[in-house]
Amino acid sequence: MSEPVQPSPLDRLLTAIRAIIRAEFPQYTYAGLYSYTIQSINSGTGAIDAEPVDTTVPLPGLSNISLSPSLLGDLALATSGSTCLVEFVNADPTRPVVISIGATNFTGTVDASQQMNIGPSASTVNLGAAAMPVARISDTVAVYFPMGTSITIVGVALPPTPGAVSASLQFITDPISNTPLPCAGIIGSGSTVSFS
Amino acid sequence: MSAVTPPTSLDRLLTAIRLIIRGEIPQFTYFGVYEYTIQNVTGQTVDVRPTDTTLSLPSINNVPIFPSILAEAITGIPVGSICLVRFVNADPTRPEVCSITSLSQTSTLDATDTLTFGSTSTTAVAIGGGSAPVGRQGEQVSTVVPLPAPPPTISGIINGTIPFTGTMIGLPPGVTGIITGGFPGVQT
Repeated sequence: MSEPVQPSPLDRLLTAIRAIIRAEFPQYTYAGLYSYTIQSINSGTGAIDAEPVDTTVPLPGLSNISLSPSLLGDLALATSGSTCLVEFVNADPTRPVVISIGATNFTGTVDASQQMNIGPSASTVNLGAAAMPVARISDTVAVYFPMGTSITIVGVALPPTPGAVSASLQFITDPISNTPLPCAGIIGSGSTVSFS
Repeated sequence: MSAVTPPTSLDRLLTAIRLIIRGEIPQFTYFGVYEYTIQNVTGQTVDVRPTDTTLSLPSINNVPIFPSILAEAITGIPVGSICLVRFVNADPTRPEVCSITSLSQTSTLDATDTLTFGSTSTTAVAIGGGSAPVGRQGEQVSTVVPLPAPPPTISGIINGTIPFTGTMIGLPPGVTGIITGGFPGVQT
């Protein structure tokens, strides 16, 4: 362990030089990218309160800070306890913005004012659990007339045995499979969200 | 208010030291991220002007728009939008737009193989406002068979011997079935 050194005139010079350097770059600290921990979230606006992960860096705690979108008009409702990355716009300590969140958000939104294209080159677009293909306009459906349902008709029997007739004709089963008779169709309407 | 101090020989020294410091870190201005206003849009580049003119930042033309890790692309960026500009490698000749606060007319998210929104833990994926659920292959459908107007005329033979003519006046109230076709490129 080294012996304590007595202050010398050089220490004053060094202190002065360091002060000059600091004064030359007063915004130095705020030109970087910093890791913060999200403490709480405003569920209405999505703004967050956060504290710096590294408490040895002279950074402020942040209150009511907005999340900065990328190019997609993205919005998010973060999860408390997540780590986020914070930058200061124009290296101004009064203008922190969150540019990245390191965990899955509670909600996330991407948007456009007219059209949003999702995966035009992708062979697969998965939404949620991605368990089954989606149906679109013109995709097929198969429906069945359940056994026991009927068509009702009225009319007349013609000669040689004339007379009024009223009958209920029941659907029969497929004589081979003994299942309801199927009929097929297509989806004829849908929303303006297109999958192709 | 303090009195004006006349220049001293130390001022020249201080100025020199400051120049040395600045000269040692010439790219300092180009660390960080800066707020600009979009003045003009040409394809995938924009002309921008700093919002804070007191900063020693240049107005820049033909700044490329740089996507996030999702490789998003946008068109129809509103002129006048606020954006954030950063300089790659702190190089003033390499500005790029990394954030735009306004919605663009068209946004595209793409991937060469699979693009995923949400996961098994996601409770809902809303697309285009999300007003109604989508149908998927294998799911049930329920349809109504409307009786045509006027009711259709039918004719035939009763018991194989009695000619008959009449009108259909009643149909089953509805039929059920399943979706048999779907688009495997989009799965939910």
